[in-house]
Amino acid sequence: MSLTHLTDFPDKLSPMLVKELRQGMRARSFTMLFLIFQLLLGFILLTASASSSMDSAGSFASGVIFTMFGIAALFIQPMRGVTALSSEITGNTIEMMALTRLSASRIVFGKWIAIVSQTALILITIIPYLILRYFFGGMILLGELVFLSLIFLTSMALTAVMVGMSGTNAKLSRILPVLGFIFMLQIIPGVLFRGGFNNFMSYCTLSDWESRVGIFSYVSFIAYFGWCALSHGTSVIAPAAENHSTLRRLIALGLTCIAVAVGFHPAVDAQILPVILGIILAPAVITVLTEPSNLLPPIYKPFLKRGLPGRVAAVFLLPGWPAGVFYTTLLLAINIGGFLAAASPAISPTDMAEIKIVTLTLIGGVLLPALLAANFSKHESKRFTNFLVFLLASIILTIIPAIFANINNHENYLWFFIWNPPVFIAMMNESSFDKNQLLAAAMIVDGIILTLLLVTATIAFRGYRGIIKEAESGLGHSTPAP
Amino acid sequence: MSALKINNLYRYFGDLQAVNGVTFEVPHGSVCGFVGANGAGKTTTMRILATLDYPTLGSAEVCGINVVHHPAEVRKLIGWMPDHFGNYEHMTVLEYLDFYARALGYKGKERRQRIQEVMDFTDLVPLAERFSNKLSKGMTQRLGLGRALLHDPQVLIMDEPAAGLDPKARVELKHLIRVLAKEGKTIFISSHILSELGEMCDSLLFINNGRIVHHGDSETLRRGSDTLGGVLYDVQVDGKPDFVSDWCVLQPNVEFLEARKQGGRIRIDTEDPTKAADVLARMIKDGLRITEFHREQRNLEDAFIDIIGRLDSGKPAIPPPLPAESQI
Repeated sequence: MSLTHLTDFPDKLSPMLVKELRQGMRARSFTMLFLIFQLLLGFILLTASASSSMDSAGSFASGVIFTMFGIAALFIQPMRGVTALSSEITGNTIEMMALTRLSASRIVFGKWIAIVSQTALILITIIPYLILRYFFGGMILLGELVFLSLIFLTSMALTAVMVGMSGTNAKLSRILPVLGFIFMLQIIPGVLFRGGFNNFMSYCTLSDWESRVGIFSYVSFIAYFGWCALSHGTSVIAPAAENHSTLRRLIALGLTCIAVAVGFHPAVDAQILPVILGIILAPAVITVLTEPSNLLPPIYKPFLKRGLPGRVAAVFLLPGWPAGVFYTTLLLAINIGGFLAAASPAISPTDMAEIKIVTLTLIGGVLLPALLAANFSKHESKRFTNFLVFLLASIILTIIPAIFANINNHENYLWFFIWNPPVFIAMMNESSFDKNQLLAAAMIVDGIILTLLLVTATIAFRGYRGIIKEAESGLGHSTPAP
Repeated sequence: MSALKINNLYRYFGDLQAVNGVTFEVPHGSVCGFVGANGAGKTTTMRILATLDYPTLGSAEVCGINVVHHPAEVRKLIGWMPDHFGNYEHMTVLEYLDFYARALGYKGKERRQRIQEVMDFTDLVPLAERFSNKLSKGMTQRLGLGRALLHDPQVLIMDEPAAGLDPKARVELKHLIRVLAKEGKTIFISSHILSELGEMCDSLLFINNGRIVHHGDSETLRRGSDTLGGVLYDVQVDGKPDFVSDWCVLQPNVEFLEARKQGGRIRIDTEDPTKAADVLARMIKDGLRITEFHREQRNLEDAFIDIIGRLDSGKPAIPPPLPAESQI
């Protein structure tokens, strides 16, 4: 037996990355993708250079390279993360890893980095084709490099989403991103081949302030979204005595406060503010409202040690959906209050009414499935799946009545569905509805849903009393670590 | 200080009470067998000790460290071998152990040395380059044991390690466990094969419906009485074997169970040894030429069934000990 090949990866590399790379490089999905990718690129580029004039060949070659890389990086590679965590869970290997020094976050990030590094390998191999394409002429060098980087960064974020979601015991949560990818695949060729490519390349040259801010915002958004997904995956596989939720909540809270503060700056477009707040809010709120509620005394202890402020903070920051509801309420209050104070003076009353309706619709659209999931989830592990199912049902129950009302010209019929907040969006698009009336109705519906959710959460939170007592009794008396 | 200490442990899964007030201790350096029917609470108790699950109430300690409050410290002390575990695709046995050695914090030469030691001990060297998901059940169990031993833990928790193994693999595993026990490791092992546990273990814990119903050594169990308090004796006579059965018919407290070559198997309805002496005396007095009269040891399966039977009939799991003066 030779142990020499165990030195193929340095000790400094994460064990998880070493394992995933050893396995991943042997996996047929990667080797096939790699070979087919090279063959297709080579063949298409040679054909293009032979059959077209040099000018059109350059543009066509860029389109081919970016489409091929886009498909590989934005679809195939992220899809390899679909079973990243679930395969470890069902294979009963995640527990073996939990007993080592690998933390849940190292496991998740290791899985993610392994796929991303393979995507990077594919990216490196297209450099010769890009050099070849340079000789065709007409290349916007900076634009194409920025665009390539954006595809890679988006691939990183999508891989993070897939890896993060793969820990959830829900096939539906894995199918939804697949549908998203299929939808995206229809857009990519349109952008790249139907005239959009050159416009997009110009935007990617970062020649003006607007494009720089736009691309920076996009990168920040996908970085935040990817981190949220990985953090969610970490929570799912972490032992029950580990708390990953509080940090995630604090970061979202901090980002919200920063966004609200920035919103007061006169240079910031007031209409953009709710979009930014929504982007920060959405992943944070969906995650906290679907967290399992199996609390353990060691998680409550750090809050207890901080006295009264700690106990108050625990109401909002303890892991689990009951505290998640209070946290969501706090976050919504900061968001709405901040938006009204910062943006109200700069927006016309008509636009303001529409923004308010859309905002309330989105808030209600998340709170209603959360309320249903809170009351109808028998198993803690199914809460996230149930949330997705109720969310999907809510969207379907918006689309069908809206189509029906449109066909029959009976818009008023939609009032029967206002218990389902997304219906307000459909109603807002109909001229027959008074915006102020809709706004009042949306506020009432959201208010009722939030009240019911708070009552449910309060009852569930009271169930923690035994655990809180145990944590209190154990404070200072726990068995010391050696 | 005990290697394992569980105090009033409860674990509920919704309405299901998987573990229901379990209390026991396992001393350092001993081998303790954990026996119970499927669903009795064995795996749940073991998983709590291995920091993979948490108690609803009560406490569990490994070498004096609480498993809930200090799971990371406990993990350094235990080696966990579950009843089944998945292996990885596209990963050799050597790489499998290398991954766990890295994950346990071993580096460079020390890592390779530790892997070598474990592979030598578990006889995995010939399998080093085999893919870990292409191994037989016995090989997989050896790999699992190797993984559990990588960090040289003080306590080894093994959940049904012999399940599904062929006789040869079972003997090999038993041998490895014996060697580990000799090295002074505390081994907490569950199995359905009680005879094997009896040979290996210093003590046996019986669990039923989430409660410990017996904790003692296998010898006590073998010498114990049956559900109704009776004890079996093997009686051999010089002469016709029928003499024994004929004699038993007339005796109120003795039952003839089965004929054997030179006598038979009888049951005396009390555990009191003085009564057995009385029966023997009466036999001799009545003219039976006794060549052999000895108490039969029960097998552990019977002992287990008897204990469960006692509980079902509302009696204590183990009858109260006899007064000292009544013992021979």
